[in-house]
Amino acid sequence: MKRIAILSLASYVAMTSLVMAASDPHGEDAKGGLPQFEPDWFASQIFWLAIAFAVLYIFFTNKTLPDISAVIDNRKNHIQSDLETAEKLAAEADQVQQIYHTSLAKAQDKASNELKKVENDMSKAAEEAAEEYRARSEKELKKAEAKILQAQDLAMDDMNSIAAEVASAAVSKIIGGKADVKKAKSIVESLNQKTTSKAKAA
Amino acid sequence: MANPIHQFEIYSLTENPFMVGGLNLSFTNSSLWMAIAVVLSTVFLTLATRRKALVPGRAQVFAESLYEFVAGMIRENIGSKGRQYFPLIFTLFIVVLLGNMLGMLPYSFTYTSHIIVTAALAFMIFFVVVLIGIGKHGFHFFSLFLPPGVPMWLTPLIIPIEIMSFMIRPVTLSVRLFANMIAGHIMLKVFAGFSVGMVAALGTTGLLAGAFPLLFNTILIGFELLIAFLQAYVFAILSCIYLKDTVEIGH
Repeated sequence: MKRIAILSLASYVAMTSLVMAASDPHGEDAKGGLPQFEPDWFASQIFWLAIAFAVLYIFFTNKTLPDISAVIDNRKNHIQSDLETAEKLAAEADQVQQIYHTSLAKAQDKASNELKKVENDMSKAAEEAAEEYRARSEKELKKAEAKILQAQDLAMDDMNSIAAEVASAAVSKIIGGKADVKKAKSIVESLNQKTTSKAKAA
Repeated sequence: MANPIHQFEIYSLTENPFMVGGLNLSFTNSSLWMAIAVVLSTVFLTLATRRKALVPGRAQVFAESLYEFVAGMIRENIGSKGRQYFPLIFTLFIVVLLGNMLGMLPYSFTYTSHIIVTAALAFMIFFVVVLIGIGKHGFHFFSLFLPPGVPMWLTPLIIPIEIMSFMIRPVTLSVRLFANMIAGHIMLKVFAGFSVGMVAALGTTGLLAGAFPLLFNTILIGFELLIAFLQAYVFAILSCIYLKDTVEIGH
């Protein structure tokens, strides 16, 4: 594009120079010396340059430059405020995330606490039940043992009286005469006690 | 062959000369192109910034980058105190740039190829520097002519040299622009003249031979467009460097 523009401009320049050269009425017979050094036009040049410069200076100072700087400042401010808004939103998002995390942690804590509590309750109930069962079964056992002991005593007592009766019957049969059952019984009992204490000592 | 100097001739566009106090202030072809530059720049910049869009269009981007370009030039060469000179440098840059660029149009007139115009601009900068410098710093402004750290015995040599280099500034500034413009335009005209001359002298074969200067002229025009921009930039940046002396004196 640029190259085409320059090329077309160049050919245009060449063509116009051609035309100008053909139509130039005073080609060779121009005055000698550069027109730049003819003082006749100095005043006019300076005068019109000053006007042009002044007009541009006043126009640029009052219109163009404030306009452009306003646009640039406006854009800068806009970008700045956008950046600030973005920062604020990011901070807010962070805060929300933090709140979410803390509430999540709290909920987890609560859940695990409750779970623990339920577990504790359950194990306590189970322990209590087990304890109660044990106590009851121990009591039953003791009662049964006492019963057995009683039965044993009773049986022992019976055995002693049977032994005394047998002994007295044997005495009366052997020596003929009446034997004292009560005496025999006390003897048996003392014997019996001796053996049991011996057994206990053993 | 066309006279390559003819393009620089000035003529009045009015029948009767506009005389003020014995001075001929007629509206000339040069004045016309200055007026065209004024109208073109104001209309373009006004239209470009008319919408004040947050997301700029093509013209607005151009206007904004022109603004940023000049602002950056001032920031880098004068510093933050250079803001007061912003409209001056901006106007100067536009005037010189449009003078150079409009001069590239066929049949146009390059007002920056006239030494009196470039000298007027350069002396304006010179006087701004001197007047604001003295107004702001008073007599201290002249310490500009004695750079810091110069040995005592060198001062009789250094001070005249510094004064000379200060005084020569507007001359070099104006001659640089004027010479660049006039040389480029003469060269374009001469090469175009070669093409025409060959056609005139050799007829049909000359058409073929004349293509070579034409090709060269095509390259030259690209080069001249670069020079047109570059010289406007150099003019503006040197003005910035000279104006820097008014905001801070090194010692």
